[in-house]
Amino acid sequence: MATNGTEPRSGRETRLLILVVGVSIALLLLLARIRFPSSDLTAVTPSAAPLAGLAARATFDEMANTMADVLGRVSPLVVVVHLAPVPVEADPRPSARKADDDEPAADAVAAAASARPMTALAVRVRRDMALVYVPDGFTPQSAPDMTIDVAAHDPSREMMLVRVVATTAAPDTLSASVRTFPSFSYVAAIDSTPVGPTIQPTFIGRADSVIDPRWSHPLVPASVGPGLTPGVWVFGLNGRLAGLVARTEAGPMIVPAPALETLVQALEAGGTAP
Amino acid sequence: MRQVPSDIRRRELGGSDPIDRRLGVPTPPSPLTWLLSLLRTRSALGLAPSLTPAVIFLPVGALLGPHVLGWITPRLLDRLSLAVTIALAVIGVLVGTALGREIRSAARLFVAASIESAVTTLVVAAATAYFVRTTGVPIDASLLVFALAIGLCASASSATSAHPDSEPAAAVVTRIADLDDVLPIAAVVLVFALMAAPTASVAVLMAVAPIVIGLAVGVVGWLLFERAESGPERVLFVLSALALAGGAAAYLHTSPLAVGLVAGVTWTLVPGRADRVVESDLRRVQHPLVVLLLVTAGASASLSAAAIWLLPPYLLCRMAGKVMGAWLCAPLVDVRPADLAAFLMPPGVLAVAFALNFSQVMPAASGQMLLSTVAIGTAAFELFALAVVPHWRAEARE
Repeated sequence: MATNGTEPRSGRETRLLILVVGVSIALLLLLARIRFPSSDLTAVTPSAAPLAGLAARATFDEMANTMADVLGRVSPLVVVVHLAPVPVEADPRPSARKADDDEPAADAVAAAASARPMTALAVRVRRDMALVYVPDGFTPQSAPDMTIDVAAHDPSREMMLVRVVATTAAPDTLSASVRTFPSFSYVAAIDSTPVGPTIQPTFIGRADSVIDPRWSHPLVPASVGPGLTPGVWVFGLNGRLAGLVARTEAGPMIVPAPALETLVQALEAGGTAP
Repeated sequence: MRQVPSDIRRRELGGSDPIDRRLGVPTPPSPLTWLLSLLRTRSALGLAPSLTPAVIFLPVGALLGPHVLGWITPRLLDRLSLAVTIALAVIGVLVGTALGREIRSAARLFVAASIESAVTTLVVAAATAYFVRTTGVPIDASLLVFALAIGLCASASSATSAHPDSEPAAAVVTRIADLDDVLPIAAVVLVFALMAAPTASVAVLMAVAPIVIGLAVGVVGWLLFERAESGPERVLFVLSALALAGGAAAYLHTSPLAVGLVAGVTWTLVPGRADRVVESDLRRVQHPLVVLLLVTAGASASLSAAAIWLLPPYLLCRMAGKVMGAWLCAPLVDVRPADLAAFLMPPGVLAVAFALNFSQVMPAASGQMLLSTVAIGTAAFELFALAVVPHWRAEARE
């Protein structure tokens, strides 16, 4: 039976087996008499399933990459404009105050007067023109590296067309803009900081359009997404302009890109009507 | 018994490769050559080479890991888990192709290997369950699952000490070491189902899933591999199939080892050259993946009190289990039990692979405890095979 020239189970093998098993059992019983010193588990960060963790990270990483990509494409189209509060001249006559329907604007002016300088984001709409939302009580301020020249101003909509340093190529911000404002999708909300534009992903949910006679196209309430405050520009994830958040009597509204295009054309023509 | 040509004698790590050649027989005379020659003097006793990848890369991983140098951070370890999963699928494929080739001609060896691994598993699992319960080691997993998991890790053997061409016994033991991983991988599927399943129907689904996925990957590979129009395209198909195997297994929380095993068996049994194609292309990634597994395991292991506490019973009972298993199955394969036990003592990469696989799905603390115990135990057994087994074999020959 034993082809290797040995008996498979000799007495020596059996003795070896008994020795090893006996010693193992004896030591196991001996060790088992000692109580484990700690009853607490070592704290270990739970790890998710291999792909689950990866997928979760991949989703957010993908969103971050998309935002960085959109900001990279939009940055050449935007200019940070410094705004300074407009000095308010004191008027001692109470009758000089505006009528009741102008009280909110008057409050805004008063608030602006006491506010600190801020920044706004202007979006290039022509080779040397940019559109910027300037709240009541503020005015664009030239900086050492950039001179601001107001080309047109629409106080009722708080919009301003300013001349900026010309670019080599004409921007297609308006011509290539999103024609139908998206819903149930993510958009990029781009705002200004003193050092440049910043971006946030914002999910746009369900929203009904609101007709505002001051605008040529229906507006979308800014409450459809978080973080949409007046002055914030909304871009699609493909980098196309979708709209701008502006203040209206009904609250902050997203002015869609076609309405902005109409406004720019009117401002360029010297008028203010949509 | 049919003689298997050495080129298709696979073991779980495959045949000759650059690392083997480098560690095995360096030709230029140097101090390293002298050291390696010294290590390989055991080959005169049919024991070679002893300096296995586990001895080298487990400590390297521990050194680079978060507990020592911190070059491998916990975040990086987390990110490596997907690569580890695919590496486990690759190892499963290697075991599966070995099974597919040997099963027709070596059913007796397969039975012997299964007996040996089953005995080792049961001995270590029973001892661990008793020890954990008696000494009050805190675990956050089911005691049954934890004990079975550590038992299955202990059952792995690589026979890295045995040179398959040195003597008939070594040749037989090498093939047993190839085949004794099959039953544990099948048992891993059941343990996974036990762990994850709240109901019987889900448990059945979890048990069947690796087979279905493995068959699907096998069929996909079979249809694609031989239709590739170029070598790079074929490699891409192979790697994609392996990524599919690992990814699907991870997504469904089943064992990538089992999925790879089924796919490997499928590729071997279906008509054509699918298994040869996979074997050829896997040579390119096999050793990097093995190194990845070992380094990851070493970096993930921590010298916690619980892991060290479990180590003595693990070492003792694994040795007892191997000796008992060898004693029981030796008559089936005509090899002396002492030789069989000595050759099967090194756990090899498979033990670490089992531990990594369990640690991916077990509760975190228990998973790390298991991985640490098995990683340290694997290094210890490899060193044991290096230092003690040659003398054991020498005495047996006298």
